[in-house]
Amino acid sequence: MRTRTFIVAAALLLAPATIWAQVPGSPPHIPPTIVPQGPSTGTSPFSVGFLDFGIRNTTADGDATRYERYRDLRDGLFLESALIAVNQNDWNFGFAGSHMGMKDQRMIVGGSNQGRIKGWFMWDQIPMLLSRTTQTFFEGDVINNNGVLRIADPIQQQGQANANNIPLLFAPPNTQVFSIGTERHIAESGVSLHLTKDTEFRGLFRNTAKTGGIPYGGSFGHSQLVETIAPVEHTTRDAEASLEYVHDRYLFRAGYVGSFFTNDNTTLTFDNPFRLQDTTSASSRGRSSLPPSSTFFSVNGMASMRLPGHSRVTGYISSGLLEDAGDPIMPQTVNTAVVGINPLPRTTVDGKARTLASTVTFTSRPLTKVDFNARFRSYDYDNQTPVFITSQRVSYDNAVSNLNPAIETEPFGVSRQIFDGQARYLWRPGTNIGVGYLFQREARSHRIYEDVTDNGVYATFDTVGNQWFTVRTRYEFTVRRGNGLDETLLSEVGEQTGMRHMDLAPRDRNRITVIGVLTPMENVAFNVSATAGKDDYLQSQFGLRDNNHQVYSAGIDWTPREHVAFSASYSFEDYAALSRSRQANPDTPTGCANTYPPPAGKVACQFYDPSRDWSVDTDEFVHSFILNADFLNIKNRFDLRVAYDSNRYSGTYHYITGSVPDRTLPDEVTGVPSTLPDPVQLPDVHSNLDRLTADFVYNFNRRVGLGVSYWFEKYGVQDFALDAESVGNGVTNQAVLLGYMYTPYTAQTGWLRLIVRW
Amino acid sequence: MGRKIRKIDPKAWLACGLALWLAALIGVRANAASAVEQAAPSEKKPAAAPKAPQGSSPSAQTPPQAGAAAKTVGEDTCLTCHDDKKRGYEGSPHSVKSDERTPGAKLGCETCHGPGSKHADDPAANPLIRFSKEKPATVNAVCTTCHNRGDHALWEGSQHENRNLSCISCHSVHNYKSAQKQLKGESQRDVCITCHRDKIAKLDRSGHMPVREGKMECTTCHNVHGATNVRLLRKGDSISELCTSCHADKRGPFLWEHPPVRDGCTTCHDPHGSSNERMLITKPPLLCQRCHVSTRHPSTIYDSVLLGPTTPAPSVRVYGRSCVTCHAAIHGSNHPSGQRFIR
Repeated sequence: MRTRTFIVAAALLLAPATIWAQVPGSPPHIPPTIVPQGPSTGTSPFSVGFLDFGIRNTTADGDATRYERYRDLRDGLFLESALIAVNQNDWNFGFAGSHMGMKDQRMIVGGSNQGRIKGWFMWDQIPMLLSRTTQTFFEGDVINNNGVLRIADPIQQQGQANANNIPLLFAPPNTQVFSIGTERHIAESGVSLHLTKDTEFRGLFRNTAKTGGIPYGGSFGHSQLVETIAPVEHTTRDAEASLEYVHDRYLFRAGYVGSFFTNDNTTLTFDNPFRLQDTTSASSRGRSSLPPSSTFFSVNGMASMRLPGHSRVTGYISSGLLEDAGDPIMPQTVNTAVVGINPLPRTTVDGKARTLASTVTFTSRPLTKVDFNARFRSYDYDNQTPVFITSQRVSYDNAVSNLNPAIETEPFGVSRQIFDGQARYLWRPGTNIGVGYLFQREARSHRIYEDVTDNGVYATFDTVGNQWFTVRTRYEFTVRRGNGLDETLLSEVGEQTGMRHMDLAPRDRNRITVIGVLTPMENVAFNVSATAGKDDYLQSQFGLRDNNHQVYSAGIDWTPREHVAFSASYSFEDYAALSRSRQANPDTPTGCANTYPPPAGKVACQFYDPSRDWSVDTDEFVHSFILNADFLNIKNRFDLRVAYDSNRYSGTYHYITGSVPDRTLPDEVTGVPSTLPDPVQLPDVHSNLDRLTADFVYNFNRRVGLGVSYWFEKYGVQDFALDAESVGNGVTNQAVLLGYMYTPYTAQTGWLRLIVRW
Repeated sequence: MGRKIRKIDPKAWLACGLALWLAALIGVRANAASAVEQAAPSEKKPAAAPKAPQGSSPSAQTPPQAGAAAKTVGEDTCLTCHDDKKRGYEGSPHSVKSDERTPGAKLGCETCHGPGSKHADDPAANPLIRFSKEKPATVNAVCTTCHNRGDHALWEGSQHENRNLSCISCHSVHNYKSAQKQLKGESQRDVCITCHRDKIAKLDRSGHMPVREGKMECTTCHNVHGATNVRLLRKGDSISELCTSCHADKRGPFLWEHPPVRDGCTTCHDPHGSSNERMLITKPPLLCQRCHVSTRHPSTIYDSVLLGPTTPAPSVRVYGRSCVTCHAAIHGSNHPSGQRFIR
């Protein structure tokens, strides 16, 4: 009783928290069995507490940030968790903290009177560590840079004199090594108030301050690339409120959501290590835009009514407004030498979008063995940002280009309608056979299709409630087709007219999922699952041609006796895709033919030449293993948990020139010999992540325990783009990167813990 | 690419609504006929069960009807035989007597299991509701007697309800293992993995959300009991709105929009985890080249030759962060020359 009371009291208090969420590899686990057992206290007042503290040591080879990532595992004393719960006259009060004093700490204080009121305040910090070995020419505090990054003039001078100097200069004291990452600081407060038996008010306010920096691009052209640090100084304030009334067969709810995002730095100015002086075609500095401050409000309402005869209809509507904060549009360039720039057509973005969403759901069981339900959703994102037309562009802060015709922005909007209707037949108790129909229509502005429509059917077979096995299966076939294709829109931006964007390309989709659990004995369960699917993009001459995936898994859970449990599972995933392209110069026929095959005596322009076609066949495999063994409350003294999991990923990216047999379009020209040189294939990408955790607790008595925990984690990676072995520090005579890379590591953390309960 | 959205004719909306209403009417009328059939006591389950609740699952069958003479006997009588069931119940939210909506404030055990007088007289001949043996619809009908609001308001017709899941697929009243929500596993992950093994496996990839670190849970993004958004998403009215509820810097609106970003973050990212940097669904530049095949560098084969060391300067389009090293403002740009997201 006391155990439950303790846990439940804490849970009631800490409803918004995930402090108890424990998964393999998460912070040391406190098995519930070690919470004090006591006599039943009924409703008498009580207070309980819990402390888990001690000393910790972490060792790591390589850049440990990928090991820590969202955690703070520094050496020394730690207070892993603390909890105090007090119950008095139907009131629960409590405090819970985890990782206190660390960068990933969380603290919650709250009180509740169940069925009447609950309120809480939470302070939560989430770090995201990216690298501690990043290096840069930029001076000073490069993370808290207020949107300005400077490089010493002598370095820029030498870079300007000769770009080959840059790699030679890239070392301390010309550079600094720094840590990069972000931290979220979240303050959240909420209340749930039962105004009457049928009426509940919920309110929440959250302030999220995000600080730090992230790697960001800062190109000055294809041969002068600089990786910068974008400052992250964001604040998001969220306010939510809802009022819900439930009585008899009716439910009504009204809600409000407000989100206020403030970015302290909406521009980033950065020096060019390759240039000291501005000229009309080269800049010593660049300036980028960063995310704008904005607000988003929405109001929503929901009504639900139970109809006679096991039927219910529910309607929901939401209307929102997204607006930017009215920040001015930045000038075309920071390059002082560039002249002749026209005034901007307007001074502010005037970003604005309205959203309107609605859902209607109808469920019914008109006959004992038949039920059906239908859901209709609509969503409109109406982007009302005025079109911005400009006849000039200053790429990379270098030279100004006069554009004829002028270019204009494309405020993207979407209108989406989804219908899903399903009928099920109860074949036998616990066994249903279902069929359904899916419809989805999406109309978008500024895309090559006026709208695309998905029509799909699916069938399900589920049997549950059986002592021996559970099976759930689903098969789905969906056809997506587009309407109002305008290939000239592709031509206007220089794309191949046979290209189809993968997110709206016509396709046929087949998917099947089977999940089975077999329980031959009460204490043994086998589970298997299989998912396979294929997306066939039938009209995509270029772009994603097909996409296949298979996921298979099997596992066993065995509980030989109370407090002893073993589980093991293995899963295999395979994602494969073929994407097609044509290596070509722009569509500007001069002395070449814009048809293939070309007329006699002429050659085809590259843009039209299928002999320059190529594909990349991507295949990604992941093998996952999870093993767990729990020995809890052994001889009322010991708790031991051991967990191991492993992820083994490999990715192959195989280039193929010419057409790919069996994966061409029905009416496609094939058999054209490739004129491209044979590609030298990219090396495969591999990454292995192995983790072992062990937690052992010896309980001297019900109040005091001593624990030892151990983590081992090993990460190995071979990545042609992001590992140091492949590309060194990323600094050449054409590029200065930060050195943000994948680094293999082997890390271990050990805890010595004292656990006290009262 | 100027083009306005083609709207559906309002008449079509009206027709959809009318069709739904007709379906509702048919459902009601059909049920009127079946109501007579259902009114008869069940021979298989003569013991009492709670009255079908107002607001309970319409798709649920009415729990087995009470035997005519079954009466409540009180919690103490139940515990004379089922003392072990106290373990999970007492001290749990269900047992709080001060909350008038709980079983503890009503009829105790019999609130959910039905009146027990006949069962007490002859347990073998008059079994009460054993939830583990009941059809999902029956289980759901009992639980949604009270759990019919807040997060549970949209359970009926939800994806999980449609796949024959019941409340006790994930929760346990008497033998729960979690500190919150009375889950059958110690954590949400332990429960969700039963069916969503592929998603759980992704959480262990090198690119992942802070789920395994305990900073997020499945329910941070999903309301597993039903939602107005797609994919059981807890917040917003689209995938993008859910994601930008935390990543507000990505929501714009921008001067220059990258359409797939606004359309849905999952076009490029896998929120459950990925072995690629930034949880991308595949590795750039190959990801970007799925849509950008035009000319010059987007249509180039970036093979090993461009990685060096035989070339004096490896191509930055392949190594490092690839395309976004230059096209940094890929989620949108407010720079007047930001058409290609370089500034």
